[in-house]
Amino acid sequence: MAVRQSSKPLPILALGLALTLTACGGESLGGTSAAGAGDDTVKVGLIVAQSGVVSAVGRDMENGLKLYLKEHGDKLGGKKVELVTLDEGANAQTGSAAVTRAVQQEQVDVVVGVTIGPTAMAGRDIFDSTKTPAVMGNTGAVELGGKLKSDWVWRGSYDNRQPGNSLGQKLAEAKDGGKFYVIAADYSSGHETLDGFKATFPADRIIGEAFTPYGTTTDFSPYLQQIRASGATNVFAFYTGSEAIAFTKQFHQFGLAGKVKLYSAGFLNEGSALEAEGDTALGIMNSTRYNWDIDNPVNAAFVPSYQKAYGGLPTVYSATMYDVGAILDKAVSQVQGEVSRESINAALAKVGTVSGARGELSFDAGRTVQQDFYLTEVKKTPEGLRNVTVETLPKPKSDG
Amino acid sequence: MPVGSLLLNGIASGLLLFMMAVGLTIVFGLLDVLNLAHGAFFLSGAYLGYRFAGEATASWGSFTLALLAAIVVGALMGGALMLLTRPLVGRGHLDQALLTLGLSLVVTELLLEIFGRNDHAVAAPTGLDGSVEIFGGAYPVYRLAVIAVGAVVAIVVWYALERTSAGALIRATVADREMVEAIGIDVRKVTTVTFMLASALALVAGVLSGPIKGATAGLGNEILLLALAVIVIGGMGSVIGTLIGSLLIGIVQNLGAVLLPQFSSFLLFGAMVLVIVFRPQGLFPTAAAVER
Amino acid sequence: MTNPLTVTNPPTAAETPKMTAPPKAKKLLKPLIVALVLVALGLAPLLGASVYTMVVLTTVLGYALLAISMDLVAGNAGLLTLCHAAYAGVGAYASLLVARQFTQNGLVQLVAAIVVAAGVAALTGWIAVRATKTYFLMLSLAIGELLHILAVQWKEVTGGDNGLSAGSSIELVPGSPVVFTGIVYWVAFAVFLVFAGIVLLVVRSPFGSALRGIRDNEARMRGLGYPTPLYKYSVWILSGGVAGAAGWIMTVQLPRFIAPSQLSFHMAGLMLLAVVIGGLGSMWGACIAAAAIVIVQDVIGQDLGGRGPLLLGLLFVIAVYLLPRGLAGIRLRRSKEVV
Repeated sequence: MAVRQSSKPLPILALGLALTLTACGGESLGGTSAAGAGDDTVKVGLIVAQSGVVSAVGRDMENGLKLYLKEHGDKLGGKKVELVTLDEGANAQTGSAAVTRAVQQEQVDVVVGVTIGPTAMAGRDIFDSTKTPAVMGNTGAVELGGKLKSDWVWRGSYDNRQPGNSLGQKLAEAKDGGKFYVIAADYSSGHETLDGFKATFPADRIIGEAFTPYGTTTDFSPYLQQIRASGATNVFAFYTGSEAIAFTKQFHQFGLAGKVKLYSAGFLNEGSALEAEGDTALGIMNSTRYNWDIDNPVNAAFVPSYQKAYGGLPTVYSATMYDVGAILDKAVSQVQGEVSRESINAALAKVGTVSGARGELSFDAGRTVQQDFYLTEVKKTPEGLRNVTVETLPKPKSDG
Repeated sequence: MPVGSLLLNGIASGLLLFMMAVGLTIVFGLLDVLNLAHGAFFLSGAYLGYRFAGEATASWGSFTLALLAAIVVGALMGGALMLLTRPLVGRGHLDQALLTLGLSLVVTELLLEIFGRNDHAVAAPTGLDGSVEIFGGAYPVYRLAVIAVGAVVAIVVWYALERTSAGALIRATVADREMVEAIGIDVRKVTTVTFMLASALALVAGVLSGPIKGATAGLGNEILLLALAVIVIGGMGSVIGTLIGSLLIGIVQNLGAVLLPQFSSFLLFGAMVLVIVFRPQGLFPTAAAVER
Repeated sequence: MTNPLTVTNPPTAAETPKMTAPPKAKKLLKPLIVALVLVALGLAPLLGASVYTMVVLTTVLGYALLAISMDLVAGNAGLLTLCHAAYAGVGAYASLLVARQFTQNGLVQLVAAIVVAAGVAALTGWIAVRATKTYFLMLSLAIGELLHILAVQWKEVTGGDNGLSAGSSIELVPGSPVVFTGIVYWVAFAVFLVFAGIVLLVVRSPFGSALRGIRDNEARMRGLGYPTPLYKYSVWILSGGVAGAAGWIMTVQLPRFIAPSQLSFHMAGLMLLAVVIGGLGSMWGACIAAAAIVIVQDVIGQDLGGRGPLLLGLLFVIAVYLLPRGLAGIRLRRSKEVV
């Protein structure tokens, strides 16, 4: 007769063994994780797109932060900086892998940068649950200051609604300013930018709206023809990158440039896009958080310094990250005690007003940077085509 | 609704699509090489356009130089690709896909290294960079030129393939390789030259599209998908099929953007599915195409 | 003179070379290696692996299972697919939506992922299995792209391009979220083993043999009386479900997040080529290749200052030449059914 082995004790034994081993397991099972950087260094994780379609923006962001560090002896708040730069890639998958590495492996004290919205959205949960402060240096996703607000995520860049909000206030003042057509790329940044405009600009003066498939539209003619047919005398548009170039050029080619006034949210004619657009961009007005000629002491030094280091004018992307450096500098200098994730986050909450290249900056209750917006116009100057600042716009109204 | 201008633009985009896709229909449809580097080839042409013709204004000389450079570089790239695929003979589409996808990643990255990561535009030659009044509104002259050039390219390629003895040779090689070898013709030479010409065509399309599409990092992938969809819908290996397919897609996309904005993105691939299910050989197949 | 035909010194039994099958040891070598790898993977959390390593390994398992699901149809049934990345994405969306709207229970989310992905595979697969090889590839490309566009456009459900987040960790026991990455990893590993096991069983079954027969000569199989479209359709749906499980694994660790880019042609192409590099028909080859791609793209690529895609491209090109039969073709004799 075969002896039947009872299998009951075996699983229980295995479980007991596993639980015992858990107690001496590594950090993935609850053990203590490696300590962060030492007392007088602050470890900063810089996450930017170095490859892929938005790598030009990522490069500007990297330049901006690194210039600030260079100008300040590689120190923030008096502490030595250990900078870890990771390639965010072109999508949220590679981006969240970079964030995970910065937070879990490199054990950085603070994360800065993040080029695209989806990476910021993916990163938000990581920052929140690991209690790592993160200062966003480019994206303005509305939810990060709203439904998905976190005590640890700071939007040092902007809120997508701010440029349109400011511009809308200004344009609403001109009672006989004509009818508007609004158009943007069909993704969250496009929708949110137009939402900002519609929040302060009277709806009865907006006679048409269109969203073009994001990233795949290179031919705007059907939309431009609709704008022409609508009889609108003004357009508010939101495009970035190659879509911005295509839209600007085609706006001119389809005869709208002379007849319809074009306003945009600051990225339509920025940096190398303006070079590509050439004269077709003349006369376009942008509502932007940064321009090379805005008048403040920090910017007066920043622009020549940037030109010397990188050979061209700084863009809104580089200036924003330069300012993030300034914000962190002031925050770390005000840290009580040891530099750690908690102390940096607490210091950010009390950082007050920071003088940046963009002007005076401060965080509101939603951890979004409050800043001025400027109206610029593309003009021909002795140095070539430039966005020239015309005036400072009313501050964006936040909805709390 | 400005139907007239929508149709005109549909034809212009259609012919632009045709020029992008015709190189691939010859390579994939006739030579049966799944060249996933087609988009990268196109992009190389666009960057050559940027380098020689510039962003602001281009003289006829510089634009022609860009076209010549595209032909030469394209032929070289095609020849190089043929050499690289030689060891893979008999190993089928997936290995070709593997090689050409790898090459497309390498080529795209090299282009970004050489020309930088900024998005670039390509200028149209002076004289073609203005606009004319058509259907009650301005229309860029360059797009009219694209219609003309696209039509010429279509006629030339079709004629070369269908009416010349060289074309007959190519079609014969596709249809019955052994027989052609038996006549004493070096089949490898025929295939290589055809591949080189088709690659040159892809780069030339890149230059010609430059003033409309520019030279930007994401363009390669976008063009590859578009070209694959176009040649499947039109009929792989068929020049006429690719032409009519491109025109149809161009017009439908332009009308769709206005009539069905929510669904316009689905139109192209939805059409691709319908064609493969109900008429897999394409809308206007050719007898010359490889049997699948 | 001796008779040349007589053998003077016949060899003894001990000296006679054995003309038998290769010794048992060699046959056991591969399963032994596989077993060792699995044990090492299983013990990883106990061996002090860091949180980061656990997250990376979980991602690797997810992509490995996706590659297995693709190899099931591509390697065994000859159905080259460019839409399984999209099926995995659909599964991930389903599990994250369940997490947001209904329950944190990890297993319920897993079931949702499998069922929804299999359902989408069923909806899109019935036309697909009637197409011939090259057209099938193009059709799967179109299906994948349509799902990708749907993920972007259907903002109310998927969150659009900004992606979707579960907002919470999985729970195995109601009310207590699993916070340790090591334990989440073990759950993911268990799921991986279960589904890899299912695929293994199918591949080794008579059904699997029939599939390979269909792959090699469909007309003959039909002539033998097999309902080939039904066979292809059923394995397609099964692989869709497995892809859904892969999508669940990919999004089970923090951040529990999916974006439409996961369903793109780029991702689909990379995964199909991973399967090819691994060797069509080889499960473990597909796993290793998928793991390599994840590590190059998500780990090594971060330090290369933007040259990650270049490295990946070069590796593909090298793989094509050095591995003509894929990783599975190294050392081992090519057998009809390599697992």
